[in-house]
Amino acid sequence: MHIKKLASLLIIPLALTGCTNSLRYEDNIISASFYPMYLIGSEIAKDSGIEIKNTASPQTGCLHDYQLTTGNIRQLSHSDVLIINGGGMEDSFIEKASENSGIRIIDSSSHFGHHEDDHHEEESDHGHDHDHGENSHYWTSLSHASLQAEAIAHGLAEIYPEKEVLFESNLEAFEENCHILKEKYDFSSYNSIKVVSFHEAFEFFCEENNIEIVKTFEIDENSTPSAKELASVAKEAKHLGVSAIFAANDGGKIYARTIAEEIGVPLVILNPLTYENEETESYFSSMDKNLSLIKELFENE
Amino acid sequence: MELIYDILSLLPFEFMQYTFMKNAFIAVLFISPLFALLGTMAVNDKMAFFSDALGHSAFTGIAIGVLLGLRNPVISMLAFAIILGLAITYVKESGTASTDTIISVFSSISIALGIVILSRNGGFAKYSSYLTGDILTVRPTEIWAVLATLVAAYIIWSKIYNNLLLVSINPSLAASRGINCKLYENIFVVMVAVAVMLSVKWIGILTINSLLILPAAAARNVSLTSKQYHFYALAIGLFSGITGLIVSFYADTSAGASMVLVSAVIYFATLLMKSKIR
Repeated sequence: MHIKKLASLLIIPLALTGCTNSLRYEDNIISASFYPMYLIGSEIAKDSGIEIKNTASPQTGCLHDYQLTTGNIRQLSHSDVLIINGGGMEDSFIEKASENSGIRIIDSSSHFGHHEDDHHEEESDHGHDHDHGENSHYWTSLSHASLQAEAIAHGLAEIYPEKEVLFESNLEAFEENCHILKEKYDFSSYNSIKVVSFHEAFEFFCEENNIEIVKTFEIDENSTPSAKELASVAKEAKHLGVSAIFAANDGGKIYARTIAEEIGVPLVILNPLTYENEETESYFSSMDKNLSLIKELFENE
Repeated sequence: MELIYDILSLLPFEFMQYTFMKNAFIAVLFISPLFALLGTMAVNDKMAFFSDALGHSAFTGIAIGVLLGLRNPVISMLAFAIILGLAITYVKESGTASTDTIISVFSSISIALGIVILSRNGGFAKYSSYLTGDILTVRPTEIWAVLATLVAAYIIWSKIYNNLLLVSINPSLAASRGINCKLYENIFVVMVAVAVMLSVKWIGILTINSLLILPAAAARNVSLTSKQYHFYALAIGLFSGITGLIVSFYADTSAGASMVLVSAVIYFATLLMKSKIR
């Protein structure tokens, strides 16, 4: 009798798992590797009737060590195409993803191969302190995001040729919106300001907006900086005449705040667009918020 | 606060140039006596694993806070730790299994539940800083909260200590004297829960229990009276906290873990002294 009771107790959860498995997939899905690609991809695939889904969870942040979950693999096996950022961002899982049932990959950074070569000398002048190799957080710059949107639109047009006209018009709208934001927030007439960034995503964003990142201090999610390190960052930031500390709303924020309070400069929390906000925002509304924070900073300088 | 900063600046140490080190220093001055005090009873009462379980429950507390959309998870952490502490005491008293088994069950559940909720959607990395904690990020408002807890704890302690000690040494005798054993145990559990939850963000889930247990355990090795026990625990707690912080600055290491190592060294030293005394 006891064995029967125990057995039924063990079977119930199993049966429940079977019942609640209600994920259903449409015929055509576009998968985006992570949240920024989802945001840009959504603008391009708007009104196409094709569902676009994000792969790595919107809480993952940047993808450096991301491993696909079973749910991800299942979604990818139902997808026609996977939009990736490229530039090494998806290296930890791209091979596994492309093993899947002939899924096609759109590398949104295909333009940047040439782009990086063209600007190599210019970029090396800025000096990068992080050791992740080439920075591939392209989407935080409006100009770079436009190029990514173009690569995505052309890639999608190849896969869904019947919707090419729509993708092209969505791309035009995307470029137009980027242009409007650039006009609205033009900081070229201000004196350039120096900042310390606690997130590596803001390099291109700063380059575009007349801001010089004098040091990028990347906080590893699994380690904490020592007192000595914090002291040396504070000392250096003060010495270099930094006007603000940039951080994202992640593990680095508390250290950024500590340094900002230490040297008496404002802490600016920018959105690297890798995390989904509570109220779902578009690429443009998020960038608008970021840029309005920068405007405040320039005006208070 | 500015006045305290100015006084600390007078000290001839390089690390006192930095406001974050001053904040950490003041926080250590307040946390160490609080933990030393509570640690004396936790060690007496063989409750070392209990406070460990409370520390682990921080994850579930944070997770509940995230689910409820709280900006500051301290409230949900406190609430969950208090409920967990009281639940462990309740189940322990029902006598269905040995204390270490019950604590282990609750500890495992609370850490697993927290990780499951937080890791849903891959968000766990955001909270992994709670594992090791960081006292260098403490803010003045948080320091005042710990000071208030410290003052409250010492006032409550002065009122309940005798009865609490009797309850821990001989519950039957305490009961025969009309002492409400459950009430005193629960007051102590709530005090530990509040102290652990307020400081877990700085000390870290992995090391917080050592800070509670080691100074008291070391003091117990060398003290002969209850007064000595309290005084030594407080002195060892303060010494290891401050030394650990300074060592971490110059040796470029984690502050919380350095404090624990210093108190561990003191513990082994007192262990040797104890064998010599005998």
